Amino acid sequence: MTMNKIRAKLRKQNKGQYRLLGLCVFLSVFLVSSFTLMFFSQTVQELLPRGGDTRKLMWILLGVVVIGCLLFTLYGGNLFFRNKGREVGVMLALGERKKELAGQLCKELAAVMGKYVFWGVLCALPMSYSIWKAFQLMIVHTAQMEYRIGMAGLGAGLCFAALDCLCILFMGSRFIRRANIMDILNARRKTEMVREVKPWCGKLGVALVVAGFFLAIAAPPLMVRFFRHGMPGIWNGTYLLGAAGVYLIMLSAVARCGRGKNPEKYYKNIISVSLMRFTARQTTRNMCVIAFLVFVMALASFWGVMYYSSAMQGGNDAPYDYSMHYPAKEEQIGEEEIRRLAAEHQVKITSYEELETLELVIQYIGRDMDEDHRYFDVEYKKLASFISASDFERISGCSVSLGKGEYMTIITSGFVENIWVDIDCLETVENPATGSRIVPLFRGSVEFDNLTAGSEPFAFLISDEDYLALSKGLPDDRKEEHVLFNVEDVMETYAFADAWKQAYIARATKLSSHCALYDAYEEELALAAGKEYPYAGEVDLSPDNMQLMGDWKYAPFSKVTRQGEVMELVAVFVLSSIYISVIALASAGIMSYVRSITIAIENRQLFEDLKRLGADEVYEGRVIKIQLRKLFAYPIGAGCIAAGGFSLLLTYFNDMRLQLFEVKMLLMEVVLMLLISGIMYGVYRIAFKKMICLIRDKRV
Amino acid sequence: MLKVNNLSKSYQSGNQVYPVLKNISLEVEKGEFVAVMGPSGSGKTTLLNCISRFIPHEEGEIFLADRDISALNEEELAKVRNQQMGFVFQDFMLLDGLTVFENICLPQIIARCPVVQMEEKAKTICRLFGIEKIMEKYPAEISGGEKQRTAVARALMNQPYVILADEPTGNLDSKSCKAVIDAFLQAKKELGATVFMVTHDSFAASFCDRVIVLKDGQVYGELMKKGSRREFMDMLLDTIRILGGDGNDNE
Ligand SMILES: Nc1ncnc2c1ncn2[C@@H]1O[C@H](COP(=O)(O)OP(=O)(O)OP(=O)(O)O)[C@@H](O)[C@H]1O
Ligand SMILES: [Mg+2]
Repeated sequence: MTMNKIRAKLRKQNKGQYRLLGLCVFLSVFLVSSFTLMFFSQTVQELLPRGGDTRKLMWILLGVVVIGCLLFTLYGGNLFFRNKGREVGVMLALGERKKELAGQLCKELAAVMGKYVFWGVLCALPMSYSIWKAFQLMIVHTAQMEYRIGMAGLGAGLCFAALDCLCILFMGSRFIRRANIMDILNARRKTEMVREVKPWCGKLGVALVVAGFFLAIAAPPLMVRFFRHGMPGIWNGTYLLGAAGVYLIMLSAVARCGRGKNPEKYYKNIISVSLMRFTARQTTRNMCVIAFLVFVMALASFWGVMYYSSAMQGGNDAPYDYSMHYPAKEEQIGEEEIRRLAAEHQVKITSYEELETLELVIQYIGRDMDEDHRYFDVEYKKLASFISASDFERISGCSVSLGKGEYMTIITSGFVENIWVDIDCLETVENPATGSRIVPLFRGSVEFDNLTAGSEPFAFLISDEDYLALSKGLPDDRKEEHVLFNVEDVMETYAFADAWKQAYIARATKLSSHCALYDAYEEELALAAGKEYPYAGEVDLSPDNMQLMGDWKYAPFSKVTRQGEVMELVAVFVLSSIYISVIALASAGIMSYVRSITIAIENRQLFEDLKRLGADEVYEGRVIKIQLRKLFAYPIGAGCIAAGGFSLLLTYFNDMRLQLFEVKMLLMEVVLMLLISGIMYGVYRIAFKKMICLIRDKRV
Repeated sequence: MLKVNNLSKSYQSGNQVYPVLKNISLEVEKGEFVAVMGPSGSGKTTLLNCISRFIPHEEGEIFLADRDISALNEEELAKVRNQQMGFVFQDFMLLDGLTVFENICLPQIIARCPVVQMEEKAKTICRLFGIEKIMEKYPAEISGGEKQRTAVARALMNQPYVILADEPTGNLDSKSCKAVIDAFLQAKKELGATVFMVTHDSFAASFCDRVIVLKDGQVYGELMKKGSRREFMDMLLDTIRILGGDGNDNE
């Protein structure tokens, strides 16, 4: 008989604990690496615009995934080491050296973790592949979207696994370092009473939550609106108020109990309440983390759904199915060629319009923000597109009445007013060649998505008279051609859209190979002042540039490809959100479960005593149930309410109103929350059964 | 064998300091069976834990076989605990996953002793304490008295200078209690063991050679065993009554 044999035997006896730890390692490695495999795959990386918001969001999501997964591994680790405590204590009392114990523990952990990390990474491969498949189903087209495993994703997954293992090893070494015979001897008697919880604790908590959310979400847009003053990033710290509030609410829920108004109830629940009171701080912290996870989960799935439906909407409101605009001097494909292409693809063109716009120099007031987050007015001088009233009437079929010296602003559908620029911002319009200028009068706005691209901040409508006057002497390179047409069954015309786009790109020359933000007039000014113009470079017009549609000033528009493009971006995001919520759910489930089991283990003695005092199984079951109900219901309730409040405030304060679709989304969120609660209820049932088993098993 | 000089220990709670042991000095001879008694809260457990260095003390020295162990580091302490001290705890502290026999072997396994001798020795000790029939059983399958006898056997495995026991009979009925005390007596007789035991129980203490009485963290007195066990026990009960302790533990 040797130490190794003894260890092997102990390991065998505690198989369950090793398995639980292994499961946590497996799950976290599995979830993270399937995420990184997807995220770092070449395809997704090419899809996400560099420096774009979606990419940033994805990084944040990755961070959340990593933290969530680490969290529940740490949890599993904690439980594991707690169970290990007695063994280590006995060994220490018998004179085993800590170094020896640490070495052994390290070996054991390495063996367990190595095995489960291996399986975690292995299973992540098919998982990320299926995510990919789901992703392909969600988007409109699947060209150029082959699944490729990136070494980077695998590497990132392994890095995480290493981090995960290091964390556990670190916990292990800390556990051994801190292991103290006294604590283990006293383990049974050890308690952590909270000092008396004041009756106002819960109320203060609610007040803090409300105040925190209001300050964090509602205050910044209100400040911008009324004081033209943005909030510094540190303002987000006000969220902490809300977090503190949640803690107080939980604490009062866990630990507060007085005979109060309802002494009958007090005595009925006295055991379950006191059970919790002895580990109040732990339990409360725990419940807060679970509440946070539920919050993340609800929010992530909410945003997932929201992005999905807004993406489905993308480009749908444009009056024309297809449109393109290009410098007038460019020899682009004309009506004849478009019709020929359409015929080749059996696409029927139902209407076809062309028009010309003037690129005139405008002067307008916009706003910018300084380092102190204060907004200030800036005067801009640049080019913008002008359309004559009669042209607009012809293509839109609505009549506009504009007199001399008046203008209308063309906005995208669903345009929301913002701080950066007002829709009546226009001050002067000038023909740069002749110097003739007008100071026009604002006459309202019209929505017309096909005309807004490529003209910052807006495109404008002016009367035919002004149009004629201003176009006099304007050189051709200050004019643009617009082509707009409708087809039958637009969503079935993907092949045509692609061919049309390729033909368009093929004809584009240096004249139109400008970046999205390029402005010829600004370039002239900058060069005259001897400065470098930041948007001068050419875009890469080769057909396999995936970013072209986002980067190009003269990118063509078609509903069917737009929807595809938006969906490509959004699908990644949607899937990630779903993923996050799955991870949060897994963490919350594991944590609640572990907590329940811990309570059962730590209170075995108490249940034994209860039985000696004559408590029957019904009573026992009730005690556990009340306990568990609190443990599950409070965090889920708090998390859901917080998430609901958060998204309500957010959707309201982004534009100071609730649109119908936002209300629908919020209802959707409620359904999601119900779903989450349902799943957690399942976990509750399992935990309850296990607890009963644990408590009764001991007695047989 | 065991000598304590001017030991002081206080607990801190908040910003208040509670002195628990005040300047305690005592000595235990080789082969002696000594009990420590005293009212609840008098510091018995604390004293024992200080001697075994489970908790730190502020002042004083502890000599084990003429070696000061109050300044040893963890590494050296581990060795001392393994080789020179044996522990018996109130709640047995056996490992549930190991058989009785394996539990008894544990101190020598930790010390990496040769296997054959170890197993021989463990068997001898089991025979000595009358637990050879349950050697292959697990702690969950044996009685409280048997558990504690196993623990005593384990404590003796490395032939320590002294066995330290904190209320070894606290969880046992009187019959099992007697069996454990017999185990100590046996160890003393057959193996020349030195036993230092904290107890509430006048019955258990009446088997000792000497009883040290603690009160409020100080040595209140010492009672030497004279005459029969019965008389000694009555003497102990009287002392406890005078101390106002909870003399609830008799036969
Ligand atoms: N960890 C601790 N922190 C603070 N005070 C303590 C601690 N442990 C014990 N005490 C205090 O020290 C005093 C002595 O405790 P100790 O456990 O040594 O008493 P005891 O003589 O063993 O009592 P009993 O016979 O009831 O076991 C008590 O007043 C107790 O309140
Ligand atoms: Mg005690």
